[in-house]
Amino acid sequence: MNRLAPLAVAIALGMATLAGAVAPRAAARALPANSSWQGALAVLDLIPEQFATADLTHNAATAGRLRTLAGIVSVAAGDSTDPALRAAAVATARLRRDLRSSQVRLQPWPLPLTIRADSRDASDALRAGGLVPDRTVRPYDRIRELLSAASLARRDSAAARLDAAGAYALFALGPESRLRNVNGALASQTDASLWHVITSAESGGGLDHARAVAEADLETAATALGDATFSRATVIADAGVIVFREGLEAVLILAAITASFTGARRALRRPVLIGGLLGLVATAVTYALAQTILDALGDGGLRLQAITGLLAIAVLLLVTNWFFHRVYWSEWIGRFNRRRRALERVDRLGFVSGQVLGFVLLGVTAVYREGFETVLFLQNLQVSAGTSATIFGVGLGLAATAVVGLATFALERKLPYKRMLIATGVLVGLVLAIMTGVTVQNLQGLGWVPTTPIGIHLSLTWGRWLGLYPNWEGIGAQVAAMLVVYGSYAVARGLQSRRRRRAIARAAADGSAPEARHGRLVEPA
Amino acid sequence: MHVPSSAAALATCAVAAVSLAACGSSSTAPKGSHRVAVTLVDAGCTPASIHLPAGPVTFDVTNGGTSKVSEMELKNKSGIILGESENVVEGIPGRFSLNLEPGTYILNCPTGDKEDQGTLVATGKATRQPTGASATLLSTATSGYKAYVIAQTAQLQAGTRRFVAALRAGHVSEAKALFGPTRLHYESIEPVAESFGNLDPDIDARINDVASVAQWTGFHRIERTLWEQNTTRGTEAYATKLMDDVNTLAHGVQTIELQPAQLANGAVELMNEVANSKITGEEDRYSHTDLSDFQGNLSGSEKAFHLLVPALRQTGNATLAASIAARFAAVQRSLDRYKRRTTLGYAPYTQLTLADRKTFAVEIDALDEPLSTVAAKVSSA
Repeated sequence: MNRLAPLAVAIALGMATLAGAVAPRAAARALPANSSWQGALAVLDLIPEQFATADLTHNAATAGRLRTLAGIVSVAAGDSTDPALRAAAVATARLRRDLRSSQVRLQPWPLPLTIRADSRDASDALRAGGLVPDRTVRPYDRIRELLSAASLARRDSAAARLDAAGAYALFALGPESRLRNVNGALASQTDASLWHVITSAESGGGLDHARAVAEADLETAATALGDATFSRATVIADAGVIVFREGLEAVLILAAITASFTGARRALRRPVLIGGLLGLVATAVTYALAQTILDALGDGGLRLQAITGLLAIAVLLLVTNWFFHRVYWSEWIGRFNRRRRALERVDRLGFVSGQVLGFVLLGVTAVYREGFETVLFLQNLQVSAGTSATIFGVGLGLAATAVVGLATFALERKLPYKRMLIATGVLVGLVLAIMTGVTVQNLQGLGWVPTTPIGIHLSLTWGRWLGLYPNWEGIGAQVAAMLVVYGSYAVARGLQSRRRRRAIARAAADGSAPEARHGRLVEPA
Repeated sequence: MHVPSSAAALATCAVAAVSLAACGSSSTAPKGSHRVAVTLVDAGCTPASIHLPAGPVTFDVTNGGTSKVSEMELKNKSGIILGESENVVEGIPGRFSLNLEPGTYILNCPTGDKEDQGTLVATGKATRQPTGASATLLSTATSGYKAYVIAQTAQLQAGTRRFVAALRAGHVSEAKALFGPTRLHYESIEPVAESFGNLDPDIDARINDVASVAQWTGFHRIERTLWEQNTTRGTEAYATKLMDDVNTLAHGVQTIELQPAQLANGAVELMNEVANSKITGEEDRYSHTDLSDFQGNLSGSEKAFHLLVPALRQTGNATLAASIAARFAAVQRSLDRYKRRTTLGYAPYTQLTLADRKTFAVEIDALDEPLSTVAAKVSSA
């Protein structure tokens, strides 16, 4: 077996470790025992929080809603024979009774401490029954699940209202406060439409319509907050494509460097291998550093997503440029080979330690350049879509890279590298288009780019999957990005052909052959 | 009292390197004033770093959806509150105006992620102070108000001494009888007390204002024991602390420096106190002596306003002054209907009908609206 086989395995394992380092963030979430009662827990968290604020000014409207919410949980719990729910019913009945005096604004209201204690008693009863709180800052899936459950439970008014109340509370506790900073009108609109689902569940009429309106508002809210710029599948695909593409490049460069290390010179592969591993470590450190910086920036929301999105676009343009302009690729490979030859001469001069160090650095450079690009790109996915989808995509990309690495180094098979580069290059072009559309949408959300509607209706699904939003700026930017990539490719091709014709002409005049390998993709031996 | 309420630093604004042309709520920003929008979020104030030219500035404070933070304060380097906006909840914005001297100030939105989260830097030249006749009138107003504050504090001190003695002697009825009349003096100068750090919450926190009962001290802590348990047992430590706090206040007011706009601001805040806690009956929820406190707030507010009337007339705001005076009189007439020949001097809150409370609410709103414009008028005097 080729000695470079462990390198490929180590790279895959190392990057898997890197992926694992961030994975616990995603895995920390507990699974719900029962969605409806998870929603009830949210309601019981919301009531004391909002009551404390309402009490400051005796806000009668808010207090009225809180009484309604308490009533919904109380009735639903009272209908059950489950001991935990019966206990919760007793506590929520007390909560309702205590809240009753808030019906009149100009009289003493219950103490916030009392309302908090009542709510906590009810929550404790539910938790004693085995419920585990499941709260995230982006609870959209859970809200949709509850809205769907409310719709399905239409014949059981108490159950439908409980589900709708849970959806309302999750939104109010989570995204709503952030949304008020971004778009206060949208926050109020979404709050109202979710509340309308509760009232519709009570009356039984128009529940489906109310749910549809609420879901549309929720989707708009999520997009405005930058919480739903990508679908999960898109994030996984994007991360996978980029990691595989960059991994493939790293494998090809390492293969090109080590291709001539055969026979007695096989030992020279070891320092390159070690360098590759160090490049991987450097990538991991860079990732950790980037995460630290982003964590320090806090929940930067849309602004952070827009900035990391622009960075990701820059990376993608670089990647596609390198792919299409084969001359860059050849020169890059050529630079590594020139460096390799120089280091071999160092060996002949007897400076073995200098040579080893040189090959180590060569390995570091080869891997770290690709790793650095990948880290920069992934930050946007991480910020926009969270850890779990990003890590899943990274894992897929690493697995594909590991397969190619093993085939190249362990099995010493020659794969159709050029076709693979073309295929991944086209996919990267598609990722670029999606990323551009989403980033422009984020910039529009921040008010940094104007929005001129095209006048056609496109479901938000198009945006989340393909970054397609029905406005001139977004689609125009996507087209422009494609033009830059393919246009510059055409220009580069033209220049390359002209150079070659000139070289041929000069060679004909001199009577020598043109540089045969100039401008051609160098494939590993 | 309402702890997060009206920390409007009537007392010590001027000690700072700040000349307060308008300190506190103001519906009209002074001419040429800069406007700064501050949003309350869970973390506190945003933006947390503000740079602006020295001079008149109006802070527009809104709630960005947080239920955790409802107040914004601007402090000087010594931590003294120069201006604030409180009870800022969704749909109810706040506003206050200041005349900032060059320097660095502290932005604080209490109960945010940490205390004193931000800074405000005012750059440029020092701002102009009032001159001429209005300056003299304003100076007379501030010295007159200082004398009023000292006198009220002395009465508070004397009353508290008797109240604490009754508690220590175990005389429940006497302590109950002294509770309302003693507090009246505190309620008349409450915004001044708020400038002395934690004195106000320590003396006058309602149970609504504390995160846990264990943190609760002052008049209302004792009130609950007296009225709910009908005993003085368990009040000893609170009584001692109350006396110490009132003595500290009485000592502090001797050296306070006041600015004219602080008087106007304090007048508004006292009426906000009435609107937020007296009419709802939450100030004295155990003893129901709210109307006595109401009288204290009203008297203190009216006193501050009347001291500013000559300057308002001098600067062409006689109509405004007359309008406000008439509205003060209307509120006082309504309150007088509840005067009783008792030790407290007023009917208990429980005798108010809902219609009575609504009448008070309307009259106080009507007074608050023009009164809140006085600070800006004074700043441009």
